[in-house]
This record gives sequence, C-alpha cells and structure tokens, in this order.
Amino acid sequence: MRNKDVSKIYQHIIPNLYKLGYVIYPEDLMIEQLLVDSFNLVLLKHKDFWVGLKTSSDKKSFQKHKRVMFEQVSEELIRLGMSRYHKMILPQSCKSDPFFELSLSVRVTLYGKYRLGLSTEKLMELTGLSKYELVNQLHNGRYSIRKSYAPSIFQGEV
Amino acid sequence: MNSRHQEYLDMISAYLDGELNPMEVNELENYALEHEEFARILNGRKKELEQINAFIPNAEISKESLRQIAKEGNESLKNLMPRKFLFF
Repeated sequence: MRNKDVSKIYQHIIPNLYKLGYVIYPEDLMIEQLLVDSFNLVLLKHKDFWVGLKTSSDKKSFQKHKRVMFEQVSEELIRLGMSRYHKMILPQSCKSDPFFELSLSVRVTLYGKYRLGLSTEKLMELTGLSKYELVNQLHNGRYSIRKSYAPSIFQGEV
Repeated sequence: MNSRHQEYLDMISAYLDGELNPMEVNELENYALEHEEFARILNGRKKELEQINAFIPNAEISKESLRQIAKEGNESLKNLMPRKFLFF
C-alpha cells in the first residue's frame, strides 16, 4: 500500500481517535501530540503490515483497513495516555464536568467498554489492570456517573 | 426471592458488559421472558446504561486540529515508511 493510501485511511479515523484522546486529556494540543505519537508507534510497529497490503478500491476493504488502523492507533493511544497523563492535572475548563472527576483509568475503561466495545481481556492488556480491578473500575465509574448526573435513576448498585 | 432469581440478578452486570457466553445470554433472556419482575429490572438497568453512555463526552474535532493532525501524520509517513513506498 502506498503512503497516500495509508494517509487516506488515517485521515478518516482521526475524528474518532480525537474523541478517545479527549477522554484521556481534554485539551487540543495534548490530544494532537498523543495522536501523532500513537500514529508514529503504529508505523514503527506495523510498517511491514501496511507496506505489504494491497490497495483496493472496494469499499469493504477500505472499511476493514480503517477498522484495523483504528484498533492499532487506539491501543497505542490508551497505552501512551495511561502512562503519560495519569498524574497530570486536568485543565480548568473541564472541572465542572463530573465525567472528568473520574480517574483516568476509570474514564478510559468506561470509554473502551461502552464506546469502543473492547473486551475485558483487551482492556486488561491495554490498561495494565487485573480483571478484578477492571470490573471494579467499571462498576465504580457507572456508580459515580449515575450519582453525579442522574440521582433519580440511581438504584444503589455498585 | 429464590436462589435462581438471585443468580440471574447477579448476572445482569455481566450481561450488560457483554461478558456472558451465548448460552448464558440465552438463559438470562429466556428467564426475563418468563418473569415480568426480572424483565422490569433488566430493562431499567439497560436504560440506565444508555443514559450513562450518553454522559460520556463525544468531543468533535475542529477543522484546524484535523488539518494539523493529518499534516503531522503525513510527515510521519514520509519519515518512517520505507523510501521505495514514498509516492506523495
């Protein structure tokens, strides 16, 4: 596959990668840097895969390649984000958003599970959490959000 | 409340997290079809989950950021991909 074809695939997935980056650290410059670094890592790790792919004009292949690249970049994004931003103070602008009162690992776990549909095993691998910790993060995350946003629907489940 | 009912109640979180195997999913859904009270609880939890999902931010990228990230991506491709594949 030629560079321009790889570039076309990448450009299509940037908006969704940005959404994930925003959950990690809601500030444009940080997200841009995170995306650039994650894409670089993907190119370094999976260079042979992308170079070896045949360019195809059919829509199905394009969608498949988009899915593969999204998985590859989002994995790096989560790994990098977890290691880089876990101790950083979030910008003032998101202080009033209860979602950002959650810890980075809870935010990433919730996003990975409910937006990206990642399996528990995959999330364990990416976040470095044990199954027990991960299940707890999911439950605590759901509990906190429900409590913060909609106490009327809160039923006491943790 | 019998122990079977409690067992299914305990399975709801795993069901909503997509952690049950197809056989367990089938069992739980059949149980919900046969037990109105359980179905009500299950639907309530599904609704809660939809609401929780709606609270997770859905940030839109600006045109400027999109352009910048795409530009840097092209730079990365030029720098990191093998020379013979440079067709920009």
